[in-house]
Amino acid sequence: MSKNAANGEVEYAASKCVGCWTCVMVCPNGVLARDVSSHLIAMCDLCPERDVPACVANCPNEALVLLTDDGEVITSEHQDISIETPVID
Amino acid sequence: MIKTKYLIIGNSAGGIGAAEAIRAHDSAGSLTIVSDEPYPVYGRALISKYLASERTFEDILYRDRGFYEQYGVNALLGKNVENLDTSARTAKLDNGQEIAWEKLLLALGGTPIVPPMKGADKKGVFTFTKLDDAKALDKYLYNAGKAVVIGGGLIGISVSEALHKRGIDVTIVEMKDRILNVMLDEPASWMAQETLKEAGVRIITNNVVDEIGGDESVKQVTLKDEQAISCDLVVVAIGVVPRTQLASTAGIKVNRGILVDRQMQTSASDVYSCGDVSEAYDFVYDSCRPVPIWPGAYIGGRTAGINMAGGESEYPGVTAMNSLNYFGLDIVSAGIVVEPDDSYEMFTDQSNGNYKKVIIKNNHIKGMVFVGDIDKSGIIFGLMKDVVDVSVFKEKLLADDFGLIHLPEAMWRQRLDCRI
Repeated sequence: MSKNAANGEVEYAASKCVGCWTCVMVCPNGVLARDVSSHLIAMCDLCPERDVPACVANCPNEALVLLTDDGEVITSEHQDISIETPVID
Repeated sequence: MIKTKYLIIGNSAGGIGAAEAIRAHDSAGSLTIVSDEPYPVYGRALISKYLASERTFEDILYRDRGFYEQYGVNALLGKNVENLDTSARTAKLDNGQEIAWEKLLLALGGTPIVPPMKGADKKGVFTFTKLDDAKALDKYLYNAGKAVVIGGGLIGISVSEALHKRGIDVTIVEMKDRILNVMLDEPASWMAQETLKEAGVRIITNNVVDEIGGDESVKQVTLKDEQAISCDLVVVAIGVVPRTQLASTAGIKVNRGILVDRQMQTSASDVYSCGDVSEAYDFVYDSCRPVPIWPGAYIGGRTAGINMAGGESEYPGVTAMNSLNYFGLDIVSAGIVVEPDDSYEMFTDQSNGNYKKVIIKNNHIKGMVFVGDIDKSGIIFGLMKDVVDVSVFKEKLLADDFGLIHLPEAMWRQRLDCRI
């Protein structure tokens, strides 16, 4: 897990993770979760494969918005509200 | 004679943290790292995964192999520093080479304790703090079936798991009445002990190894109660002590570790220290003490590096904190884990196979233990680190649904609002 110096995103390399959970121990907001089946960390990665994170794109009340570093506010408006079925291993 | 602006002795978390911080402030100053280990930096705690054959060396590298070139580091690996002169500002290597430095960092780490024991010089006696230890053990396993691990602390448990995964029959001999007795309280230790026993590890407590027997190689150990255990190898995992000899010989002030201030500077000017070799600030005890943990070494290294490069940085301090998941049991512990006296309040919760405990003094968190469900431990740790007054929500700290929402609104808003 490392912070991208350019955009501030916390990135996570699953191939390097050994599931030691040190990140769980030190996350002051308690947002990191253990995926006990894969023994890896499950964390928000802002959906790198999508333009807008799924949670923002699918929030029916536009309560979740994405604030970009440029001060742009992105909401679910005009987003494709297709909910993908989560794949559970 | 090599001339370098920055000399870092030690090529682990502390040394690398310093090198990265130096380069953020000074892209040109010559930078040399010396280490007696001949390898590029690797995750030290992962040598157990290496021994278990779960990870290759490439997998446990802490930085890419190109790190030294990319950061303009002259890496002298596999070399020992034999002598330091803090007034002439030189260091002498075991190959006779001399290095003149302007700023020095001592990030030498710790050295394993091997108590005087008859037979400790036999073939088949190991320690377990370095990659070379894991490699030596790995080679020795081809005709070994039984191991005795002396010490039931973190290193002992980690090597026990690796040996167990390699099909070795493991017996742990612990001097005190329970394993992991430094980082855990009693209920948590018993849980860990049960888990290890269920996995098939034999645990002998309140006992010590008196003698290691065999001809040239290890054949058995004899305990102080004269009980004999046959084994093919012994791992001595009692603990580590700061590797201070180089510093003390050079006249640098040393207590248990090398003494440093909040800038990580030692008693000698332009000489800094960090990591397991040092005695740096602990925010739970509000004083300096050896805290041999990886993140502390890295953060201390960064602090030292910034100050060495002419910037200003103060070490925020760390405290003893460990996250373990050996034998499938998740454990987190930090700070004070057994309340020293009545002035400490204690909250515990033991349900569904989980155990949680928070220790509080004067409405401030001083320590915690989580076994099983550790997912909320980070919030508790954050409140302890930030010295937050928890009086209005302390009853809720261990609730299953505990989260930032239980904090007063001003507090959670502030915590969520900290922009990068």
